[in-house]
Amino acid sequence: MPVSISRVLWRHELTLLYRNRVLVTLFSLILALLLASLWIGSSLLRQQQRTIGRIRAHGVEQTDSLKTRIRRVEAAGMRYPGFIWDDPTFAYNTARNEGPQYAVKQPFALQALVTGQSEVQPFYYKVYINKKQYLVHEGEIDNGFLQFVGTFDFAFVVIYLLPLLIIVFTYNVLSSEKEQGTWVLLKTSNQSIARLLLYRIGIRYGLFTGFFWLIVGPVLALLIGPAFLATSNWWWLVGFVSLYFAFWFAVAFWVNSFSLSSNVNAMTLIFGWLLLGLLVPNLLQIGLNRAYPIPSRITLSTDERNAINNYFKKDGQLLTKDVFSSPRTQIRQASVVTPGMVYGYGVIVYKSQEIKDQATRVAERRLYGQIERQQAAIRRWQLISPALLLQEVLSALAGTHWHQFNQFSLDVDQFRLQQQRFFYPKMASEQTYRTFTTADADAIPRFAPQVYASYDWLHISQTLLVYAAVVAAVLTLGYRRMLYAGR
Amino acid sequence: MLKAEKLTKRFGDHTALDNLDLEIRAGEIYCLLGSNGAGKSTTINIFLGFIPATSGRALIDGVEVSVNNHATRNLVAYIPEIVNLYPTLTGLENLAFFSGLSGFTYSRAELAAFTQTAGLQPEALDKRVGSYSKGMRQKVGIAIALAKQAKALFLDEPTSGLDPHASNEFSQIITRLSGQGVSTLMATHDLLMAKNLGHRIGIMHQGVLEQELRSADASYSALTDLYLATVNQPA
Repeated sequence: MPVSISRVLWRHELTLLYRNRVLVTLFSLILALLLASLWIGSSLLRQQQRTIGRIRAHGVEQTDSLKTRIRRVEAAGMRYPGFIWDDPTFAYNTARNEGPQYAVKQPFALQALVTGQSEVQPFYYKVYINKKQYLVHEGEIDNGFLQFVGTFDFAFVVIYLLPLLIIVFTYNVLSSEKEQGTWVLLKTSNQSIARLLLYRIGIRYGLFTGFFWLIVGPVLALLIGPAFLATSNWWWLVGFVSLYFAFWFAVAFWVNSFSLSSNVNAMTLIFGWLLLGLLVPNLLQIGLNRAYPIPSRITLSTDERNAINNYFKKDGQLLTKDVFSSPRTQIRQASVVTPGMVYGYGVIVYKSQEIKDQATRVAERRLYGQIERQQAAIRRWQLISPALLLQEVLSALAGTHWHQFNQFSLDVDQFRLQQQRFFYPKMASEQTYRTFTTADADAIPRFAPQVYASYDWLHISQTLLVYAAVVAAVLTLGYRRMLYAGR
Repeated sequence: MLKAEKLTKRFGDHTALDNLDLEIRAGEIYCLLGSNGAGKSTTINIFLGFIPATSGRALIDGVEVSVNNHATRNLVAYIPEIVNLYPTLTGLENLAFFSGLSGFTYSRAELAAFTQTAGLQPEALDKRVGSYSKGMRQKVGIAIALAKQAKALFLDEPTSGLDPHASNEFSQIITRLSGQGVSTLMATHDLLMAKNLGHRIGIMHQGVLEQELRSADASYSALTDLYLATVNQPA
């Protein structure tokens, strides 16, 4: 098609769209929703950053306080005037009081676009030698886990709302020509109707996508700073979202190629949107929960308890005999707690923690095993719904995918082991159990905050290519159909 | 310029057009008369490439429509009974678009000149077509034909519903185009217009071209008698 024809079509489309009041109104509405979603996302990001700032300040303050208290005890000839369980020179006490450190999952800038799993997964833990504690959702009985989490964010607008706008934008590209009678004059021009329609859909796609990124890019840069532009995540995200739009434009082209009425086109496209955008992902979620049910917290606690009981039944006698029955650890019977008892109690905690950790691992394996099975099923099925695929990809690119939260959780587990390796020898040795110094306070392991935004498991180029092939196939089907109909 | 050779069109068992042989020279205005369903519009639709012929050939400037529809569409313009345009665009924008689609890019002044030739008032150029009368839209249709530099013009009941003044204006424009060498095939029920405007007249009945005459050779009343005698033939 010569350049002059493309210019004619561009100008024509722009004028037609600009003068379509319904479309302009709807476009403005969706634009407002898009801006709102960007603002909400960036607000959540900023809120998280503020929380992390407070956590960091609290950590520094806690170490300073610990060191001050240690210095006071040292200055008083290792005499602590208060409650013995608060004496910071006891390694066990410090491990319990000021020793626990925060582990933080540093938010990735693109998190402002996709809430993903960050609504239900913690982004920071307080790590004790005996547990990693997170402060949200901890009191809930069920494990609040959903593979597809929806909130009013950019991803929601892109995945669920914009296809509707695309449908309004494209459902009658051909049928309106027939219905208003301009079809006759188009047919007497020397352009192929199939190519003309493809061109018009292409122009509308270009306008829609171009306008979309022209809005999103600068607004996002304004809200969260321009650093995200330098990440590969952003450009993959641009690619996938643009391809998602292309998918819906291609489907509209294909539906138009059947030369049905505008009403039938609109209904078909809406049905397609309901099916691919809502029905399939929800049915898949239900199916996944049936096939791989997520165990509740009650089940997990029972599992833990059973594992501990089993241990004591089989191998716990030694511990009971050596540690629990030792005269140094008879705290319950003692009227005055002696330093030796603090030491003994520390040893009990250390020994029994090993058993508890083992039991927790059994329960966690059960939980995470199910989630991993769900994830594997999603990877197998994600191509049947572009909405599902995009949700998976977007949350991975934004650093809010379950994979990334899981990786963070695993790193925190490792960090807890590091804490244990630091505190246990000091707690369980008669030489060091009450010699915790300011140097030790400085040496307490700290979790290096990290951004979890890698997406290696996605095989992203392959996924993009397969997806692009699907779009090309739909376009080809529509084009061939129109050529055939034109003959 | 326009030639039909044994042109036949069947829709199932119904023969809409039966072995039509027709030749229209450059600059000639040929009027097809006939009652509804006589095959007039079918003939035009085959020439325009809207529907394929069952058998026979339709040629425009020596090019067979069914073989190279792309080339023949370059040569033709079509003005149906109601010229439907984009209602939210102005007359000038519609003209620019349709002529642009055919590969012609004109300045505003050139486009305005086409509409002036077609008889559209200059003050209507920048008004949206949604507010145009039927006659005004016909004029934009003619302007499109002019801008496309069409060699053949197909008109299907073009003056139906036009007031006498608009109808007369329309005839004048077609005559002017004929003088420029544009061939015209017009399907109409208007015997008087056919007599006054056409160089030749064909009367169709049930898909067959029953009568053909030069308009100069018959009076209006003779044409009327011939028409009625033809269309009242038993099936």
